[in-house]
Amino acid sequence: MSPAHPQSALLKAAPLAILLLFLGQAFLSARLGRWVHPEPVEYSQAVRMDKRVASTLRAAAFLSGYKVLVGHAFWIKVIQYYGDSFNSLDRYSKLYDYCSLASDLNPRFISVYTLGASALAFHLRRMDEAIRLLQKGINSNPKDQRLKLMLAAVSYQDSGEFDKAIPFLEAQIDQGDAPYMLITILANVYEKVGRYGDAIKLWQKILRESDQQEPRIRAGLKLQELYGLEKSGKKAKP
Amino acid sequence: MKRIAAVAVFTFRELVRSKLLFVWLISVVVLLGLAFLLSILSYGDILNIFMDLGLVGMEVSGLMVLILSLAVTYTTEMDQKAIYLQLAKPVTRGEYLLGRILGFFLLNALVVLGMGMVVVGLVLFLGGAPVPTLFYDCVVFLLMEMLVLTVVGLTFQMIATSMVGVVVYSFFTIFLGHLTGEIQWLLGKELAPATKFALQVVYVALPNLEVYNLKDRMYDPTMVLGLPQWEEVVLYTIAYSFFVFLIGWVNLEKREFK
Amino acid sequence: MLILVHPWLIQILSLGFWKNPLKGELSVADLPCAIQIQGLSKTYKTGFWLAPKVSKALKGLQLDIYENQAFGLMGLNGAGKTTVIKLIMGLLKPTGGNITVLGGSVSDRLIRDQMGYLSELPYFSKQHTGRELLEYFGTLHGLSGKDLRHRVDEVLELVRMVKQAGERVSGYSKGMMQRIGIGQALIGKPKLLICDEPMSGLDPVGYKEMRDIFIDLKKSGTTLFLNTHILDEIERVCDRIGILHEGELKAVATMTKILETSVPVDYWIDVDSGEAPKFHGLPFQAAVQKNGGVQISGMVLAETLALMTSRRAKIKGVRPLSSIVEAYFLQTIGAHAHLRAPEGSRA
Repeated sequence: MSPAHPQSALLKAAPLAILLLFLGQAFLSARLGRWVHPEPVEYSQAVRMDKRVASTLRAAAFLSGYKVLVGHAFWIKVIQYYGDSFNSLDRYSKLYDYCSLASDLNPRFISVYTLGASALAFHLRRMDEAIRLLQKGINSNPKDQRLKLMLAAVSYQDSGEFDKAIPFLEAQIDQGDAPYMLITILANVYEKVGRYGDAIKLWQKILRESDQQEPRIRAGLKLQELYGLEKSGKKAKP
Repeated sequence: MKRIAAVAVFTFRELVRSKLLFVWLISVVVLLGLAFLLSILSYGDILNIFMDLGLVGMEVSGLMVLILSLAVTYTTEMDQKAIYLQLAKPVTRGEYLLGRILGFFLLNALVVLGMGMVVVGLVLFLGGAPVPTLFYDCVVFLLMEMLVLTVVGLTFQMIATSMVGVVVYSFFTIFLGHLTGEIQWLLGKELAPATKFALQVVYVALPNLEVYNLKDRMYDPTMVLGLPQWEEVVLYTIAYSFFVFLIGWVNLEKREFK
Repeated sequence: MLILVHPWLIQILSLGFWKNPLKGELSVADLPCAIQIQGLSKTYKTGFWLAPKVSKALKGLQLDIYENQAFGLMGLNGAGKTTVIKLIMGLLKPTGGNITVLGGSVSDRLIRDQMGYLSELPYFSKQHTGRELLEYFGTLHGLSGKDLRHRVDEVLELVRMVKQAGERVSGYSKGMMQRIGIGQALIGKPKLLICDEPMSGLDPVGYKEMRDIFIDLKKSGTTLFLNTHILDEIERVCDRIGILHEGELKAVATMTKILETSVPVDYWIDVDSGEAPKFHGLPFQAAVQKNGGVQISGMVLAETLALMTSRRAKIKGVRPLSSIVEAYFLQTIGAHAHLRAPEGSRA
């Protein structure tokens, strides 16, 4: 191509034009990104989840053949929902529904039942929902002992017989990979029945091993409280 | 302009007459049927759910037709060398590429709007209530997304050395383009500088397809869609499309046909 | 007495004795150049980018193609003929040297407007009809409306595709594709026509028609650049030929020069079996066959025919046992020529 040819001139200008357009579109993309996601991603996604979406997801998962994949993706959203303190305003009213949907999508995923039931029973005091969830899990996983142990623990919690719930909770934790929530539940039960030493050991375990800041802060505060109680020899309030 | 139009019409005719439109017809039936079924299985307003899923179907069928068209025409143009005789004519490579982009976009617009008309028709027929204006906004945004992806896909066709490459690059661009929110979230975390830099490059280089994803935000009460937003989205579409087109054009000018 | 002679035989007889082959370009300095190639080279790099394999497809090619002439480029497979054409058409970028086409660069759209190009085994979108293809290519040449329709009809008539014009390309045979291919190359009334293996896939009728098209184009002033293996095409159509071997231009000569300077080939003179005795006792070596027919060297063809005429021998036909151009080609590239009696002869 001759140097004086207009096409040649356009080609020579192309790299500069590409650079300018690249910068321009990057700037616009960043601006529009704030319009698309005005709030941090996790928060906005948790708020947007509602029953209609959940049920559509159930139907889509069943029909698409990617049930487990969708189930796992949905379980992440359930955890985000429970982890978002904003939802405590209505006391996580949809938690049972979401756990139930997640278990429909992925019936073999035990964590759905254990974590869900733990939160419902020990945190939110919704024993009947917790028991229903665990029974659903046992129906889908009849050979799994953890769910049966969990069911026993929840039942004793429900009846106020905390000391009888302890062996089942301990058995759960001894199986390994127990979520920190379950450990804190057992620590609280120890505290309720006056076994401060055992409670302290569990809170120390959380303080040592947790990689999240919030549980460690909570563990630190609880340890202070328990050291005081142990020293004074007082019993915890039921 | 005449030459660009000639290439566009030639390309459009080639694509329309190929068996791709049968694929589109099947996808219309399957996707809309699926949308109808899912809306019945769900709770809530059936027609709204059908419209939502209809929009998903429009996007899916548009993307499917685009990727298939790119694959099929790569074989004809590059492997079978039909491009030689066209580039030997008094048409510049930039005009040729622009004409191809227009031809492809026309087909995509036909696919998306065709399916949209079916959705609107069914909603009006079954529900009787008028379709919300936001639905039409979603369709326009979808068309803009198709334009961007058409330019990206054809640029890949100019760069790639095989049909598989074209399909894979296009597919991953579409996939990653919808993850810009997640990439933004990752960029906010504590990461190694090299990882952060790579993610930043990916974030700015890829098309931000979430901008066009109005269908996922249709029921978001905090969403604002006024003239400023429209202007920015249209400007972004033009800027990104032109940016990618220039890359494709420069590549085509430098490309050797062995 | 009926004598069937090869068309070039008349010229051969008028030129006299054979001389040694000469290499080099015939000077035609007065003719303007359609294509000027100066020091053209093309190197390919293949393989892993850290340790690429370098292959030189063309080495310092120097060639001028004059207007209103037909030039034939010959060479073995892999000699670089298609590379030359692609470089002329701008489909490849030269590693060195430069090419001037019709006084300008092929990257100039206006230059390409005056050119027609037919690639080897052309491929078209199967979804279009022949007419639609020609209309498309005509539009790219700036034709429209009545002019376009008229020109398309003209070209369809020229390439004998009027009946099949409305059918889709998917139903075309190889020959039809080739004809549509030449049609699209001619749609813009080019000053310069470049064809890569234009006879490829054609049956004898198609081949003859294509050859007639080329001869007509040449007469109308179109410059032809043909890349071909078919010797008959070269001999009948081309004014000059070039021989490319391993990326180098070994020889360029006019047909006249080839005939003047080419190596002698043997000729076969067909006679009735009863006439064979008249060929005995010739003053030079001749292989007289029992059932009729004499194989003699081209160097003594004129004398033999003169002698036979004087002996009133009835000669049925005279033909070369191999193509003159073939012999010239083989000698230029240094291969051995194996001369055999023609098939079907009564040798």
